[in-house]
Amino acid sequence: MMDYSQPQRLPSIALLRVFLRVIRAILSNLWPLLILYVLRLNRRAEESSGDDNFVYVIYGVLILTVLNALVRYFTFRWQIDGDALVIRHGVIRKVDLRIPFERIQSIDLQQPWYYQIGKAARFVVDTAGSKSSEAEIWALKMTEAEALRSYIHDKKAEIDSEVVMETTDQVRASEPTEREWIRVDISTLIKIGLFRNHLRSIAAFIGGAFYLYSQLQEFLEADEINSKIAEVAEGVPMVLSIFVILAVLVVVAAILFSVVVTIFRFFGFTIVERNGALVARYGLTSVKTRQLRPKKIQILRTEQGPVFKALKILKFKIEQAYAEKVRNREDFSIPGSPQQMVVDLRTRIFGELPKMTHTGASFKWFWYRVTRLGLLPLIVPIGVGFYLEDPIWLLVFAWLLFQAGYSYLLWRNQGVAIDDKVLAVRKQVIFDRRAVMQLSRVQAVEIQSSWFQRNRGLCTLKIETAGGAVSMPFLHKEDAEKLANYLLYKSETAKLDWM
Amino acid sequence: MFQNISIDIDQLPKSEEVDFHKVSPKYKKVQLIITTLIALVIGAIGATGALGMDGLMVYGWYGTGGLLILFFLLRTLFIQKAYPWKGYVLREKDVIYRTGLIWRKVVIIPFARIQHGELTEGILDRIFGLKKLRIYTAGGSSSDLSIPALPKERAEQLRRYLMNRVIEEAEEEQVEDKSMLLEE
Repeated sequence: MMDYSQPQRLPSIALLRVFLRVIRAILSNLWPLLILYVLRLNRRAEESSGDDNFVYVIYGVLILTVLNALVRYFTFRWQIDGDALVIRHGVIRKVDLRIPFERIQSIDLQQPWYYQIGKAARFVVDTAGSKSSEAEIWALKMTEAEALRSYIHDKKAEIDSEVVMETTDQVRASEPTEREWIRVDISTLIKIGLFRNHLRSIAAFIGGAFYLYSQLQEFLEADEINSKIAEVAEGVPMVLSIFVILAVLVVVAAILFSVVVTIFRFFGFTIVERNGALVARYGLTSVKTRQLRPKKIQILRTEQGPVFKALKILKFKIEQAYAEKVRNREDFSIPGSPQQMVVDLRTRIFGELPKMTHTGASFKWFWYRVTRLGLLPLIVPIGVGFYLEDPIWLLVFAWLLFQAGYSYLLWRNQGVAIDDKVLAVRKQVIFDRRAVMQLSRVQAVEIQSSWFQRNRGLCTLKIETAGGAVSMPFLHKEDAEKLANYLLYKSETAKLDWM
Repeated sequence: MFQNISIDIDQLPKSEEVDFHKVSPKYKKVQLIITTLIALVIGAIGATGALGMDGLMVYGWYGTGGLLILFFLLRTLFIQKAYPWKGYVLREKDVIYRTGLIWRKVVIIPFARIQHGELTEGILDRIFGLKKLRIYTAGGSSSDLSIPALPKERAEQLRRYLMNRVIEEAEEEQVEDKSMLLEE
């Protein structure tokens, strides 16, 4: 068995990975230059002239990339130091990474095809922290990798063995329980499909409409050739009517497509609580089953527009603790569910929410937002319009009015609700968007203040969890500091397993 | 026994009333060298491009040169002015770091929420005997923390202390979890 307390080097098979990474880096970073180089080669073959600058740049980058990879390979050392995995590498930029066993979420042994031949594996440690790709031993012999994984698992298990035993006993002792929290029936799915935001699918269908229009043009042109009069008198209305028909077709097709996709994707959607875990099951042709661990739920976000409000449908998204690169996979959302069921589920996770009040954000936020988003972007269009002396440029002020109205509603409708367990934040203009989190999930608090804010005794409070963040802009400094201190107090005194 | 003691928010520890440790004064020198190098490289490229030019084109290069000097002066000024505010402090339960000049920010991370720590050093850092401490939290990179220009020994001492506190906090969590399970 290896002596893990001593720094260990990478086996020579890791060089394979080093060079494959080099090739991948070259292809992903240098492809525009490579294309130019190839084109240049062709041209040079024709003209027999040109300089070699491109070649030098490519060779330069190639040499630097290879050197960098080799340096990393030769300086890479890993070891176990106490209850932590330590990884060091680099010469110009030295990296010294230390991962306590307690923070290791999982260890993956990954075998690309070339490692399978050499019976080696990548040792990838997931800590749910960002930049998790750094936490990787590029190559270990398979047997050594398995031994190291077992060693770390054993050490980790030693630390929390008593808790694991207690938990297992509890699970065994208790009878299996099951409760259905959410069930989305077919009629609700049709409503969701009909009234959800169709802008994206309409954009996709516009491409198809343009193709259709280009096909119809031949037909139009044939008509026009037949009669010069029809070209002038009827041609224009005909083109317009084609546009109208196409627009209607696009919208109808997009909505139908949306309904069909929604039904196929979320058919039979249920969330059932089974022995403490929330299990979601959905899909028509390919049925997906996903398990949500309540202790991993960091933030629950809901969204409701006026139409969904009338239909009593609420869109929700559960944000879990994730490593940066698996963010999308870990977050969980459905475009809509019966409102009362979502509220019940939210109450199950977070308890009853306290009453929403205004965040206390200063009205200066309104002026700041109108200036930044409404006025500043208009400087160039106004300048151009004034220069052209065409009154149509006055239309740009519509944007200013829109931003003013939007900013006012955003300022007026924002809300916050806090008690000793949860924090809920609301933002609303047309859509009512809310985020709820447990205070014990807070993992960082950030107070930001620009020069403008500082001069007015204001700041923005940003609250981070492992699943996402919520921010409260333009709070009075004293209020923000009080809230930050309270959140830290709740987070630092919460001794529950937080992710 | 169940307790529900009321909390006086005004009595909570105030994160805004702590004395910050500044990062090493060598930070200013390192940044000044980096600024000079950037200006020199851009200036050298510009000067090479301007060779053989005449007429109005040359004035364009004068303008670019002027902007470069302005960039150099402004960045130097920013570094000098921002330095006194840049600092960190360790409390019993968390680490606080503040930075920025026009946009200032104060980040506070409880020890129990730290995932892992990393020390890095570039060439200039090594020449000046400095290291950068990076603290990773779970989730996205937005709540990660990076404290630059720490003297080598201080950086290693800080990292060791932080990691020990992370382990202690995790062990406390385990004990608390166990007692909660037993209570249930």
